[in-house]
Amino acid sequence: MSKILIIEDVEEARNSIRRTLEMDGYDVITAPEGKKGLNLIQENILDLVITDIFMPEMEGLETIRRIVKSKPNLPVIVITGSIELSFLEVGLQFGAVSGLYKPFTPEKLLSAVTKALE
Amino acid sequence: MPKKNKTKEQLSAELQSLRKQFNDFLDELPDALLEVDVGQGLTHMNRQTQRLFGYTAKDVADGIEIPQLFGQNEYDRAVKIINSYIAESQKRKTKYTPSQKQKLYEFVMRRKDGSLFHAETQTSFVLDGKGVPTGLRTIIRNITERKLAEAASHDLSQIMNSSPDFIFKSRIDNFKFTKVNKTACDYYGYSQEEFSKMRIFDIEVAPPLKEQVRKLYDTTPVGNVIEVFGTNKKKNGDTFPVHVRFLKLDEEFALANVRDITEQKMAEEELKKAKESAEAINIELIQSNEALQREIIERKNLESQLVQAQKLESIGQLAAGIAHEINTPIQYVGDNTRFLNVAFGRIKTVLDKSSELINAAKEDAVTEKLITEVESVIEDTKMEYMLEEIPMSIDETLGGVERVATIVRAMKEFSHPGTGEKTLTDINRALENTITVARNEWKYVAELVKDFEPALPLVPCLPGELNQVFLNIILNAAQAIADVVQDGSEGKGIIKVSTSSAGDWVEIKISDSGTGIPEEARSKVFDAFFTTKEVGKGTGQGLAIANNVVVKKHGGSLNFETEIGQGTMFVIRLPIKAPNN
Repeated sequence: MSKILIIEDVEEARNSIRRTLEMDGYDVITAPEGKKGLNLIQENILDLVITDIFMPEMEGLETIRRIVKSKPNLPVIVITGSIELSFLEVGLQFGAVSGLYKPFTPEKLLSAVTKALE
Repeated sequence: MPKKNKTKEQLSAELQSLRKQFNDFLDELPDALLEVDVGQGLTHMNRQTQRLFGYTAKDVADGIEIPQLFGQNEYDRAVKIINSYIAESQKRKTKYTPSQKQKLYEFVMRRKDGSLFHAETQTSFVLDGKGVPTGLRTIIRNITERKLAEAASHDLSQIMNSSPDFIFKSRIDNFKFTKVNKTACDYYGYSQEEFSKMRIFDIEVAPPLKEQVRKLYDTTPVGNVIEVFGTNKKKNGDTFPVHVRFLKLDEEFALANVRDITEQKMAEEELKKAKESAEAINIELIQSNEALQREIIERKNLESQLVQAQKLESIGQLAAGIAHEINTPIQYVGDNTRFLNVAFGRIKTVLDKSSELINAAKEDAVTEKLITEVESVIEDTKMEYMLEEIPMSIDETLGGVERVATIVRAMKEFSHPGTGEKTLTDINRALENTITVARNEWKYVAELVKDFEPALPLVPCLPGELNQVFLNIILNAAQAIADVVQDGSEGKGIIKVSTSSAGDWVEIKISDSGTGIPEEARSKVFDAFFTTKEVGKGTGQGLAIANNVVVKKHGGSLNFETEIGQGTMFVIRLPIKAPNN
C-alpha cells in the first residue's frame, strides 16, 4: 500500500484530500506546512508527496525544492488554489511531477497519483 | 430916434433885451447848453441843462458853482483839457476859430441830488478880439444809456474773445453771423469778415433744415438755452464733433457757444472701449470661473473616479486572493460531497445486508454465514472509518459553504459602489468585510487580531470609500509585515484592528508589527504617487486617497505613529455627527 504525505495548511482541504486518497486505499499522513512536512519525510518511508503552495512557515515551492534535493526519487504533486498559472509552472520546474489547480475532482487527483506512482 | 443918440442906458437895456432873447432862444433848444465866462464862471444854464442836472431856475439865480456839476476828479480833468488846449493853441500861434472842429469830450457829471450820469460835451470857445478865449459854451448830452450799451457790448466782446469756446452771435431772421469771437476765427480758419458773410449752416457738416432751426428759435423763449450736438467743419475741410449751446438773446439775436468735443468723444470712446474690454474681461472671468467650477466638479468626479479606480485596482489585486480563498472551500466541499455520496452507498450496502439479517432473524433463520457476511460488509465498507469521517466531513462541508458565502457577501459589501450619500454604517462590520476580502493578502504573514467595541455607534459615512481606506491600510500593514517575516520561517507578524468610541468620535486603530515608516518618508506618506514599494507593488495612491476620504469627505482625521523595527499604527477618527457637507 503506497504511503502519501499531504502538506496543506487548510485543515478542511487536508482532510478532504486525505479522505479521497484513503477511500481509494492509500495510506495517508498529513502536515499543515512545509517544515513539518519535511520532518515527516525524514521519519517515514513515503511513495508520494502532495503539497499546496501557499502556506505559512514554509511555503510549497521551497518545500518542493528541499524534497527534491533530499529525496530525488520521491515524486511530488503540487496543488494550488491560486489562479495564477506561474506558480504551478515554478513548482514543476522545481521538480514536481505534476500539478493540479483547485478545485479538482477526486478522479483527477487519483489519476495524477496513479501516474506519479508508476 | 437917431442911432447915434442912443444913450448908454438905452444901449444897456437893448443888450439886456438881446441877452434875454438869446437866453430864451437857448432855453428853447433841445440840447442842454452851458455858458461859462473865464472871469465870472457859469453865466448861463439853459432849461434843458437845468432839467438834466435837476436844478430849478431859482437855483440858477442863486448861483451854481461849476465843480458841483462834475463827478469826482472830473472837473480837474475838464480844466486840464481846457488849459492844455489853450496852451497848445498859443504854442502853435494859431488862433481858435469857431469853424474848427469842435472837440467832443466825455465826462461823468453830477446832478443836484448827487446822482451821476455820463455826458458827452461839445465845447466851443468864446474869443476876444485878439483870439484869446474868454469863455466857453458847452452842449451836454446825456449818454448814459449809450455808455451802458457800449459797456455791455464791450463786456460781451471781452467775454467772447476771452472764451476758450467758439462764440457766434447770429441773427435769428436770416441766420447770418453778426459777431464771431477770435477763438472761433482761429479755429475755423475764417476771418471776422468772412464770417460776417456766412450763415450758421455754412459751418455745419450736415446742416439741419432751416424750418427746423426756425421752429426751434420760435418755440424757445428769450433767455433760454438749447443744447444740440453735431459736426462742424473748418475752412480747410476738417470736421469735428461739437456741443452747441444756443442762447436766445432776444427776438433778433442768438448766441451760440460751441465746443469741440473731439477729445471728450475720444475719451468717451476710450471709456466705451475700456468698458467693453472690462466687460470682456468680466465675461472672461465669468467664463474662467465657470471653467474652474467645471474643473472642480471634474476634479471631484475624478477624485471619486480615482477612489473607484483604485478600488477596482485593489479588487483586481484581491480577486486572485479571493479566487484562492474560494477555491479552497470549493475543493473540499466538492471532495466531501463526493465522499458522502460514496459513504451513503456504503451505508446502504451495510443496511441492505443488515436487512437480510433482520429478515432472517424474523424467520428465525439467522445463519452463521449471514452474520459473517454482514460483518464482512461492515468491514469491507470501512464503516468504522466512515462513521468517524462522515460527521467531520459534513461539518467541514457546511463550514466551507459558509466560508464561501462569507467571502462573497464581504466582497459584495466591500465593493458596493454606494449611493454617493453618507449612510449610517456599522464600522465593525465594514472592517470585518475588508479583513475577509483581504484575507489572502495577510493570512500567510500575519495573525489578525480584532478588538472591536461591540456597541460601536453607527457612523454616517460613504462606506465604499471607507472600506477602501481600511483595505489600503491593512494591505500596507501586511506588506510591512511581509518585509519583516520574509519567507515566514521565523513566524508570523501581527495585525491588530480595533474600534472604540469616545464622545462624538469613533476611532479605528490598525497597527502592524512591520518595518515601520522610515523617517525621511514620514512627511510624504499622504502625498499622492509617493511610494516606497517596488514597481508593481503600489501606485502610491493608497494613503493619499485614504487621507482625502477621511479628512476631506468625512471631516475626520488620519494620523499614524511609527517606529522603525516595531511597526506602525494608523489612527482614523470619524465624527459620529456628519459635518455639513
